[in-house]
Amino acid sequence: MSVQQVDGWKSGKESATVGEINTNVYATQPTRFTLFMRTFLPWQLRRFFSINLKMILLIGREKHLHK
Amino acid sequence: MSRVVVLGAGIAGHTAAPYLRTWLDKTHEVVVVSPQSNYNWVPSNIWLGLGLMTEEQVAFPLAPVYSKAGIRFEQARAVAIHPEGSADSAAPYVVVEKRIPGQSVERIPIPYDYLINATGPKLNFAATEGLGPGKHTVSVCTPDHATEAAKEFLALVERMKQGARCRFVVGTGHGQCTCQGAAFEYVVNLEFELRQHGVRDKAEVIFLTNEYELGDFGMDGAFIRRNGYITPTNIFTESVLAERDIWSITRAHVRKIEKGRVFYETLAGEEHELTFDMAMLLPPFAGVGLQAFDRAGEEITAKLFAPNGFMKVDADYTQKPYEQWKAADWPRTYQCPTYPNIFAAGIAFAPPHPISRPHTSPKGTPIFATAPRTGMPSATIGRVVARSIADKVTGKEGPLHAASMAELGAACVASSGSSLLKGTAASMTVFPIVPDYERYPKYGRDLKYTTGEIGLAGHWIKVILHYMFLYKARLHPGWRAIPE
Repeated sequence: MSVQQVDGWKSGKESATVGEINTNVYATQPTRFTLFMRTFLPWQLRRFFSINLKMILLIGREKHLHK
Repeated sequence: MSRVVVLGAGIAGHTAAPYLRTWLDKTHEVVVVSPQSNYNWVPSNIWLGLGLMTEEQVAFPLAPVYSKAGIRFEQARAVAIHPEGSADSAAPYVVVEKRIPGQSVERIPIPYDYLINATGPKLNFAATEGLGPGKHTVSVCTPDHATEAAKEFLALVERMKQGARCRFVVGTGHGQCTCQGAAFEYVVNLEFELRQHGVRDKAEVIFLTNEYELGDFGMDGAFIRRNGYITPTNIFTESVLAERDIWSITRAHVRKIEKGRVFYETLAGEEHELTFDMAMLLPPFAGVGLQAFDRAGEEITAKLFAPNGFMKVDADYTQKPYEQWKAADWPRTYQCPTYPNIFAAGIAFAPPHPISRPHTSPKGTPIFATAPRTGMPSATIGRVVARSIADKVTGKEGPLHAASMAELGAACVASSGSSLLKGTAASMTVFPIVPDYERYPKYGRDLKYTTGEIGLAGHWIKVILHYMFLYKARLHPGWRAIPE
């Protein structure tokens, strides 16, 4: 049995994995613009209606199928 | 006069019973049997588990709601089904254990004409040594568990404010768990709250999961069309964790937990251990352990239930390899094949097989996500089963109503930070839940209805859904207009 070598505090940033732990450093990351848009009110109001519409369409499709 | 007995008052049972009461006139009786006195809107336990809500905000007493609706409520635990009746009478009945105040537990038979098994899962903490509340980890499966989790979390926040460094491990506590979505939601909310408390730099947050890849969620992952690409949920989920500096461990079966230490085996067969200050690890699910007996009193549990304790319904339970799995294997009507007046809804029905590809470690340990059937599909199945029974009771001709998870979509809003202006949530829709590679050969799902995005709008929707579904569950005026 091996013991995870993760007790070096946040030392794993240099590599993608420390033992079995994936520090996700090679993952896709959002740009500052994307992060800004995620909480930008006018855009999020629009997304609010868009997501609701998608969910209503999904429910509508189900009701149609399961009549 | 017919009597319909609903076992369980979770999302499936509490959906089925009020619909039955609406569709059947007062000459028929609807009985709900549940060991819990309260209804719990489980998705909001995530917020309760971080001290953002109180128990009263996510749960309410069932008795007054059922009394007002004309539904008989028995706070009791169902223990046995006698689908052929007894030696004295052919009328089927269910045996329940009821705790009489000041007395011992009493066993009571409740006869039925139709039975819905919506007992939900047994939280099988015993499957992993040291797992669960009262042992070495916390959980958010029930309001009590989540309240304890919040206390532990807030105590550690105070310690970090004094300069301590802490490690949080969140995820699944066994190689055969489901509900990875809930664990994912908890870990990103926990990370958000650490930032809100100003102690993020003092914390290390690790997501530990039995999924083969992040974003599997027990449904073999999904593909989403976004920003000009068709992106697997793996990329989406990995990105959400990466931007929050949350580390992850995938393909892990938690074998044992000791105080502050989790021992796990990976799919590669390696053994590891990890220290923690707080661990929120979900248990695997099993059936609640209902037994069944024939008229002569011989046990026929294996006839009604799969070995994991979930009820067999109209699914194809033939053992076959992943490559031969089909959408048609999944049940449509949730009717028990041997006793047509018994149905199972929600988590209580036995899936024919997982949705995700199964994997086994070199030591023979199965490590993969099992099939989710919580939330929206549970409620839809509850309604459809109630419709089928109401039709039978009222003598309507025609086939039973159907809601196969291979024809059913799901909308899931996973909170990733609770704040009216700074919060976010991942909003996902998938259609169908079980991939159908005959209808959608390349991706298994309809990409028009399989979507995902993260943003503040998702958080608003999550908050609205919390209040809307609790309004519906309280059976307030117009509750039927709110979809499942």
